[in-house]
Amino acid sequence: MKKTLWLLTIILTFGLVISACANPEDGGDSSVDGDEASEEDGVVTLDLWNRYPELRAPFDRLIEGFEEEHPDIKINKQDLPLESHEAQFQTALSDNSLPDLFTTAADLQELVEVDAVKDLDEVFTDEVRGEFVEGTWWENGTTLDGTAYVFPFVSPKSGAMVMYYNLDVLEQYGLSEDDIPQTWEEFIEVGNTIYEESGESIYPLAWNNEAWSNDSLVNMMGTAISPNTPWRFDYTEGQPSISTEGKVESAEYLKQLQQENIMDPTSTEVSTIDAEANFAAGNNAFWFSGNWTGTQLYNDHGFENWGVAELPTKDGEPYYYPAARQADGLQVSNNTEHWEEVKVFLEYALDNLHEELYVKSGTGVPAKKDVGGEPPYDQYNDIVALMEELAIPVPKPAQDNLNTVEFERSYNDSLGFAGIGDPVVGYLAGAVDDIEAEIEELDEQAQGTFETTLEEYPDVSSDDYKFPNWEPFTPYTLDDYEELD
Amino acid sequence: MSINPKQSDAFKEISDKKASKVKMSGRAKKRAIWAYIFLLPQVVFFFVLSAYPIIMSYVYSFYNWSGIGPLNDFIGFGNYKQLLSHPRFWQAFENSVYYIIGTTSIGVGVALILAIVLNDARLKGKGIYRTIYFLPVVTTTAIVGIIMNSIFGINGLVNEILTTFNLTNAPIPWLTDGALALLVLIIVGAWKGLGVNMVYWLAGLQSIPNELYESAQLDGAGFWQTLRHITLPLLKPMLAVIVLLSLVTGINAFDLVKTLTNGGPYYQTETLDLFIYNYAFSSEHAGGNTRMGYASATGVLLGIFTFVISLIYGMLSFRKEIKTFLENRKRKRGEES
Amino acid sequence: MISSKSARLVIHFCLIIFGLIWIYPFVWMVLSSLKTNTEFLTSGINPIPEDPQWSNYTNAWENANFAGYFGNTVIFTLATVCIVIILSALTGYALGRIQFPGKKAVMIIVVAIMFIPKGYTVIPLYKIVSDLGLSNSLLGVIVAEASGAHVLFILMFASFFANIPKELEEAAEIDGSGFLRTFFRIMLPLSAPIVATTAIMQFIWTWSSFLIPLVLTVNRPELRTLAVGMQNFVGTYTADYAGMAAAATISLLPVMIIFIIMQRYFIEGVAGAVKN
Repeated sequence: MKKTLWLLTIILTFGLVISACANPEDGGDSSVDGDEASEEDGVVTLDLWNRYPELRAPFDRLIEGFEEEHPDIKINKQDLPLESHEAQFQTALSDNSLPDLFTTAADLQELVEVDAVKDLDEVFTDEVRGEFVEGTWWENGTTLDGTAYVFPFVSPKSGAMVMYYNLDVLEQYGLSEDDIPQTWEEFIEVGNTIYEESGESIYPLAWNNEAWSNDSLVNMMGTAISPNTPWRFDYTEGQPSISTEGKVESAEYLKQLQQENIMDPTSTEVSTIDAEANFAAGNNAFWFSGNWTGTQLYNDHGFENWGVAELPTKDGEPYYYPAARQADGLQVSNNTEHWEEVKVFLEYALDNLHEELYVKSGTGVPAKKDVGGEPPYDQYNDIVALMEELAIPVPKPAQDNLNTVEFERSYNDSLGFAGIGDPVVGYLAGAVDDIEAEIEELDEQAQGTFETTLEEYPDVSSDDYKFPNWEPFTPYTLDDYEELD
Repeated sequence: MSINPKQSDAFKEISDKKASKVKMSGRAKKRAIWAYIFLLPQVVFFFVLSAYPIIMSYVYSFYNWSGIGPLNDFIGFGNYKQLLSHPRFWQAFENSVYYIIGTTSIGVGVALILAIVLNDARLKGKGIYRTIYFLPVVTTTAIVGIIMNSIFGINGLVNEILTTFNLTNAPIPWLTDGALALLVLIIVGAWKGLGVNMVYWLAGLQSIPNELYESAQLDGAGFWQTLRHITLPLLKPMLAVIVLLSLVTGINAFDLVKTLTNGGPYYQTETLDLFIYNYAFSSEHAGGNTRMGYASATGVLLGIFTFVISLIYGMLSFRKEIKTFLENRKRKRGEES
Repeated sequence: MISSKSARLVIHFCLIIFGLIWIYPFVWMVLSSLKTNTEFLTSGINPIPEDPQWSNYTNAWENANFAGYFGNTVIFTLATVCIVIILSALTGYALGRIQFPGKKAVMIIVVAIMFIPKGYTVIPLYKIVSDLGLSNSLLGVIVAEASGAHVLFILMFASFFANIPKELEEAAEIDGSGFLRTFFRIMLPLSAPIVATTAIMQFIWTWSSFLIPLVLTVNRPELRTLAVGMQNFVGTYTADYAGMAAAATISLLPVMIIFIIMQRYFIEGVAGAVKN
C-alpha cells in the first residue's frame, strides 16, 4: 500500500515537472506567433481549415502538388471535426484568430459585417468569374454587393437528391435497368417484387430518417406536385410555404413505404453512413441520396455495380432542386499576414483545385467550367448529368434586396424550427400521427412570424419574395431580376 | 472561497470587534495570515477564470447574439420570454427531469446492493469485480453511443435475444420510440454512472466501524438483521451525498444523449444540456443559425433549476435537522421572553 | 458477513453473469476495433471479426495522430490534477484548520458557489485565457480545465484537516517546525487518502473532458487530447467506426490501469472523507 502511495506521489510530481517545463515553451511559441519562426528560413506557412470530411484526402493531394511547385510556401491544413466545427469557428472568430484560409462556415453577410473575410476581387476579376459555371456568383453566397468573398468549389448545379440502385440485387431477382421505377406506384411494385422474391429478407429501400435528409427528400419530391414552392417559400405568392400538398403527400408516401415493408425497418435509427453501407453490401436495392454518394460507394465500399436515376415521383412528373442553396468554398481571413502567398495559392487552386478535389475524386460537380481530369468511376458522368437536369436556379430575394438576409435570420430565429425534416422524423418514428396537421400548424406559425418580422424590417416587404415573372422549372437568370426592376 | 475587497474590510471590522473581546495571540495572528495566503491561489483562480465567464454568460443571455460579432442587440428578457413559450424547451426540461430521476434511482439503488456484496472482505476477486463494474465510468462516451446502437438497435442484440426466445413477434424500436429511447438512455446512463456510486457506497460501508459488526455477530444477528439494523441506518447520511452528486451528474447529461439519440426522434429525448449545445454550436438544430444568447439564457435557467432542486432536496433530506433547529430556536425565544 | 459456502457460490455466480453483461459492450468494442469499416457497419450483432485488422490500431496511433494526442492527454490530465489538488488542499487547510477572521463568510461563499447558476461559459473562458496570452498552448488548456471552484474537494480536505488531533501540530511546533513545514511535512502526507480521491475523480473528469480542450486548441490541433481527437473519425457522409473503436480502446487502457492500482486508495479516501 505504501508503495502505491509512493508511486502516486512520483507520478504526480513527474507530471507537475513535465507540465512546468514543457509549457513555457508551448506558451512562448504560440504567443510569438508560429509564422515568424518559419519565416526565418524563407518559408511561409499558411494555415488552412477544412471542414469537409470528404475532401480531406483530395486536399492533401492538392497541397502536395502546390508545395512541390512552390517550395517557399507551406500549407498547414487542419481537418475540423464535423461535430464541433461550428464551436471551433466561433471561438476563432471571437478573437480574430482565424486561419489564413478556411472553408465556408457561417453566413457571409455576418462575416463581412465583422470584417472577418477578405475581399477577393483582386483574384476574381470579371474574366476569371467568367470561367465559372453560370449562377456561381450569387448574393450572400459567394458575393456580397457584387464583391467576391468566396473561392467557389462546387457548381450551383449540384446537391439534388437522386436514386441509386444496386444492380447485383436487381439482377438477382430478375430485374434490369429497364425496370427502374419512375413513379411512386412503380416503385412500390418493384419493391414488392424484390421483397417477396427474396423471401421477405431484402427490404428494397435503404433510408436514413434524419432531419436533413427527410427535409431534402420531401421538399424535392414535393416540387413534382406543388412546383411553386422550391423549398420554404412560395415565390409566386411571396410568402413562407411550409406546408404544401406536395410535401404532405411525399411525407405520407414515405410512411407508406415504411408500412408496406419497402423501406428497411432500420431506416428509423441509422445514419446516412450505415444506410449507405447496407445498400453497398446488398442488403437493399435502392438508396435515395445526393451527388457525393458515388465516390463513397466506390472508395469506401469498393462497390461498382450500381446505377443512378431520378427519384420516383407521384405520377412520374419532373421534380427539381433550387440551385445554389449552399455556397461551399474557400475564404480568406481579413487578418492574414501573407496575402501575397495566399494569392499564389489561390492562383494555383484556380488551375488545379476543381480537378483534384471534385473530378479526380468523383466527389461532386466542380464550379469551374471545362475542368480536366479522369473521374475514378464510370457513373460520375451520369451523376453530373442528373445534377445538370435537376438543379435549377430559382429566384433569390437577396439578389435584389440584401436586407432580406438579416430579415430572414431574424425570422428563422423567432420561428425556432428549421423546416419540416424534424416533424417527418417524428412521423416515421411514430411520434406524430397526423403529419398534415403537424406541418399545417408550423405553416401558420411561419406565416404569423413572417408578418411580425416584416413589421420590424421596414426595408423588406413581402414583394421581395414575389417574382411574377418566374416559371418553375425555367432557370431564373440575372436578366429576369433586371426585368423585374 | 472568495473575498472581495469590500468584504475583507467587513471582515476586518468584525475581527477588530472580536479582537477587543478576545485578544488574538501572536501565533493566532500569524496563522490567520497564513490562512489568507493559502486561500489566495484559489481566490485568484476563481476570480480570473470562473467569475468572469459566468458573469459574461449572464450578459449574453440578454442579447440577441449569434456568437459571431459584437454584442449590439440588447433585447432584455426577450430570450427568456421566447424560451418559456417554446414547447421544445419544456420538452427538454421534462426529459431532463425523467432522466435525472431515472438514473439516480437505478444508479444509486443497484450500486448499493453491489457495494454491500463487494464489501465482503472474504470475497475472492473483489478487485476484479470492482474494476469490471467501474469500467463504464471511464469509457469515452463517443464510442458508448455506437456500441449501444448495436445492442439496442432494431437488429441489435436485445431484439435478437427477444425474438429467439419468442418473447416478442416484431423487433422493438428501442431507440426510435420516444418513450423507449428515453428508457434506454436512462439504463445506459445508469450503467455508465453506477461504478462511481458503487465506490461512494463502498466508502460509506468502510467508514462503519468493524466493532459494530463484531458485537452484532456476538449477539447472534444474521446477515439480514445486521443489514437492516446497523448497515442501512448508518449509511443514511451517505445517501444524501450520493443522491445529490447523482442529481448533478444527471442534470449535466449531454454527451451520452448526443451520441446515443442526439435528442431524436423529433426532440423527444433532448435534454436541457443538449438543447443548450444545439443552440450554441449546431446551427442545423437551432433553426438555421447558432444563437449564443438564447443558449446562455437556457444555461441560466438550467442553473436556477439545479439550484431549486438542490434546495428542495436539501430541505427534504435535512427535514429533521431543520425542524429541531427551529424548535430549539422557538424554545430559546420562549425562555428569553 | 455471509458464511455458508453455497451462498458464496451463488454470489459469485451472480457477479459473474451480471459482470459479463456489464462488460459485453467492451468486448464488443475491442473485437469491433479489429473489423474493417464495412464489416463493422454490416455485420450486425456478430462481434467476431472475419480477418483481424490490426492496422486499425497502427492507423489510429500513427495516421490519426493518437500518439501525439496520448502524450498531450497525459500531460494535460496530470497537470490539471496537480493544480486542483494543490488549490483544494491549501484552501481546505485554511478552512479546516485555522481560525481566522471571516472564516464563516468564506465557508458560506464556498458552498454557495456550488449552486451558482452557470450559463454557457466556454467562449468567455476562451477569451480570458487568450487575454492572458495562453490560448493555443497546453498551459492554457490546463489552466482553463483547472478553473472553477472545486467545492467538493475543498470540503473533503477541510473536514479531514479539521479532524487531525491538535497535539500532532503542537508537537511539531515545539520541535521548531514552522507553519509551512508543518503543512508540507506532516499535514499533507497525512491527507494522502483525500489526495488520492481528488486525484482519481479529477483524473476521470479531465481525461474525458471535451469542450474545453477543443475550444482552447483551435489553432493548434497538434495539442488536442484523445477525447477531442476521437471526433475526427466521424463525418456527415463518412465515418471510420472501426478506427474509432481502436482509438477508444487505446484511450481506455491507462485509465483502467490507474483504477486497478488505485481503487483501494480511492475507496479509502472517500471513506476517510465520509468518516469525518
